[in-house]
Amino acid sequence: MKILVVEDDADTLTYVARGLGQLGHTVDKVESGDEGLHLASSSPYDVIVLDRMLPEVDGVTILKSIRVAGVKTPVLFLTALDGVNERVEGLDAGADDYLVKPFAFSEFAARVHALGRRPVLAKVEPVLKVGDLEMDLRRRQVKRAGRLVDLQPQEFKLLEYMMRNAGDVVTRTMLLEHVWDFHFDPKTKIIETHMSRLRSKIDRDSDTPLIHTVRGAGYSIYAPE
Amino acid sequence: MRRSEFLRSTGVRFTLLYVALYLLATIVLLVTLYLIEARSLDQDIRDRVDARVEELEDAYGLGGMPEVIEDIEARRRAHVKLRTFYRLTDATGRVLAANLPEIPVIPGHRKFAVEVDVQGAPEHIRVVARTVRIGGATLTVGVEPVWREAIDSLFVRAALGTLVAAVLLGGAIGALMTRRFLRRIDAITSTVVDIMGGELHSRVETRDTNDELDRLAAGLNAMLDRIDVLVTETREVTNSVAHDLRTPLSRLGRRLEEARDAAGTAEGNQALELAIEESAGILETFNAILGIAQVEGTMSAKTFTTVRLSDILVTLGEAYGPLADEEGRPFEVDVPPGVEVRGDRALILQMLSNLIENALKHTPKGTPVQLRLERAGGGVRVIVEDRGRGIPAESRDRVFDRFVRLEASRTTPGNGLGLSLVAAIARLHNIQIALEDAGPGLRVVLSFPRSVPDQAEVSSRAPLPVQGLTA
Repeated sequence: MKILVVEDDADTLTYVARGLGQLGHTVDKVESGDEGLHLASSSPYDVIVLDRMLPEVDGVTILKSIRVAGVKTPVLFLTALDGVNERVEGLDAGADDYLVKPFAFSEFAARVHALGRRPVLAKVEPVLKVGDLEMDLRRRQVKRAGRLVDLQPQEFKLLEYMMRNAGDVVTRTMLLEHVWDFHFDPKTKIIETHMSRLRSKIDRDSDTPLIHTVRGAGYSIYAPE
Repeated sequence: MRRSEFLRSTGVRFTLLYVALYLLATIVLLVTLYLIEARSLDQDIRDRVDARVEELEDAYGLGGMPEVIEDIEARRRAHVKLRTFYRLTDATGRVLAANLPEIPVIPGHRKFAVEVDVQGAPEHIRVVARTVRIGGATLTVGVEPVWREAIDSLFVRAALGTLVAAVLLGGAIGALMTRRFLRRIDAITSTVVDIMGGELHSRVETRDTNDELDRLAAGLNAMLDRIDVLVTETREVTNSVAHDLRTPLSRLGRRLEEARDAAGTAEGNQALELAIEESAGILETFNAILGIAQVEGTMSAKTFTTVRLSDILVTLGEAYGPLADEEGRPFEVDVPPGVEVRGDRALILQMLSNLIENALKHTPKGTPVQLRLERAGGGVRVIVEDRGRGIPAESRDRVFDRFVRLEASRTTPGNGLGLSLVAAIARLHNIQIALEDAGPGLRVVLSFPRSVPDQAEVSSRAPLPVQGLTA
C-alpha cells in the first residue's frame, strides 16, 4: 500500500515509517502540515496517517480541507489527547479511525491495514466466508462445515468483525471499539473470555482452527493454506 | 484626573445623563404650563375687546353715533387699568374719534404693533384689536395686553430659576445615587484586586436585597467558591500524582539499570520486559488522570443526548456475562426495556463498566454480582451489588477520592483512579451515588436525576454531590 504519514515528532515518524516499510508498504514521510495538506490533496494514497496536533496547520484543518476537496482516502488520526470530545471531533472532521499516542506498533499496523481494505468492505456482501466457515448476514446464521453454529448476539458481532478483516490482525482495542463500542480499556479479560467462547463454538469440533492468536498484537481469522 | 478620564468615569457620565434627563423633563413641564397659561390670557384679552365693542354697540342703540363718541371720550378720560384704544370713522372715512392710527381691517381679533399718542407723547405698544361696523361707521377697539406681557417676562424669569434649580438638584441627586451604586461596584472591584493579590478566600459582601448587584455579588462568590474547590483539588491531585508516580518511576529506573547491568542475558531481557510493562502502567495512570480532568474540566451538559440506558446495561451484561461465568459467579442482570436518560453515552458506559469491574475485581470468585435498573419516583436508579466484603462505613467517603486504595485492596492491580472517574462522570450528569451495605457486600446505587435537568440546574449543581450524600 502507499501510505502518507504526517507527523511532526521526528521519533514517532521514523518509528512508524520504518515499521510500515518493513511490512512492505511505500511510505511518504512529511513533518509539516502545509506539506501534508499539499501531498494529501495532490497524490493518490491508500491510507493517510495524520497527527492531530501539528505546527501551523493542525490535523483537523487538513482533514477538513482534503475532505472538502473530495479526497476519500481513509484517514487514521493520531493524537496525544484521549477523550470523548477529541474522538468525536476527529471523526466529525472525517477521520475513519482514531489512535491515541503512545501506541504499540502492532496496534497501529493493524489499524492501517484495516483502513486499507475499507473500499472492499463498503460492498454489501450477504455472505462472508473463511475456509469452511460461512456467515449469512441476512439470515444472521453461521455455519461451520455446513453445520449450524449457535451464537449469542455479541459473539455474532465479534465474528462478523473478524471475518470482515479476515487475514488481518485485529487488536484487542479494535474489537473493544467496534464490537462493544468501549472507548476505554477494561481492566478485566472480557475480550479473552468472549474469544475463548467463540473459539469453542467455531473451532472445537474441527481439526483446522480458523481463529488464531497473534502474540502481542491480537487475533486473526484465516484458513490455513 | 485629566478631563477625558473625568468624563469617562461611569459616575460622572451617569450624573450628567441624569441631569440632562431631569432638565428635559423640567423644560417640557414649563413649556406645557406656559402654553396653557398663554392661551387663557389671550382669551381674556379678546373677551375684554368683545365686552367693550358690545358696550359701544349698546351706546349706539341708546343714543346713536353721538352717544358712542361720548362713551369713547368718557372712557378715555377715566382711569382704567387696561388701556383701551379706539378709532371711529364714518362712511366717508372721516375720523369721528381716534387715539389709534389706521390699521388694516381684517375680521376677528388681531394683534398689531402700533404707535399711539398718549398725552402728547408717542409710544410704541402692541394692541389686540377688532373692527366692527356700527351704523354706517367703522369702529376699531384695541386693548393693550399689558398683563400678558408682564406675565410672559415673569414666566421667563421663573423658568430660568427653575432650570437652574433643576440642574443643581438633578446633579446632586444623580451624584448621590451614582455614588451609592458605584460604591458597591468599587467594593466588588476591591475584592477582585484582593484575590489577584493572593487573598483567595476574600469574598464580595452581599446585602440580601436580591437586587441585580446583590445577585452579581452572590454569583461571583459562587464562582470563587467553585474556583477555590478546583484549585484545591488540582493542588491535591498534583501532590498525589507526584507521590503515586514516584514509586513506579523509581521502579522503572531500577529495572532499566538491571537491564543495563545484565545486557544481552536472559535476565537482562526479562528486566527490559518488566521496564516496558512498568512504563505502560505509568502511561495508563497518566491517561486515567487526564480522563478525569477532561470529564471535570471540558465536558458539559450541552453535549448531552438522549441515551438508551437499558441498552447500555444489556450490552454490559452481555460483555461481562462470559467473564462472570468463567469465574463461577451468578451474574444477574435485571433491566426493564426502554429506559432513557440524558447524558453522554460513552461516559455512562465507562462509569457503569468501572463499577462492574470493581465488583468483579474486589470480590472472591464464585460470589454473585447483580446489575439492576429500577424506576424510582420520576427518576431511575442503577444498582451494582456484590456479595464481597463490602466497604467499611468509615471508608466510604474516601473511595471516590483520587488514588485512594483501601488497605484491603493494595494487593490487587489498579491505580486507584477508577472510582474517581466514576465520581467525576456522575457529577457531570448530576447523578447521586450512594454506597450501601448489602449485608454482606457492597451496593452502589446511582440515582439519575428525576427529569432532564435544564441549564440552570446543571450550572448551579453542588460542586461535590457525591461527598454530600455519602458523608
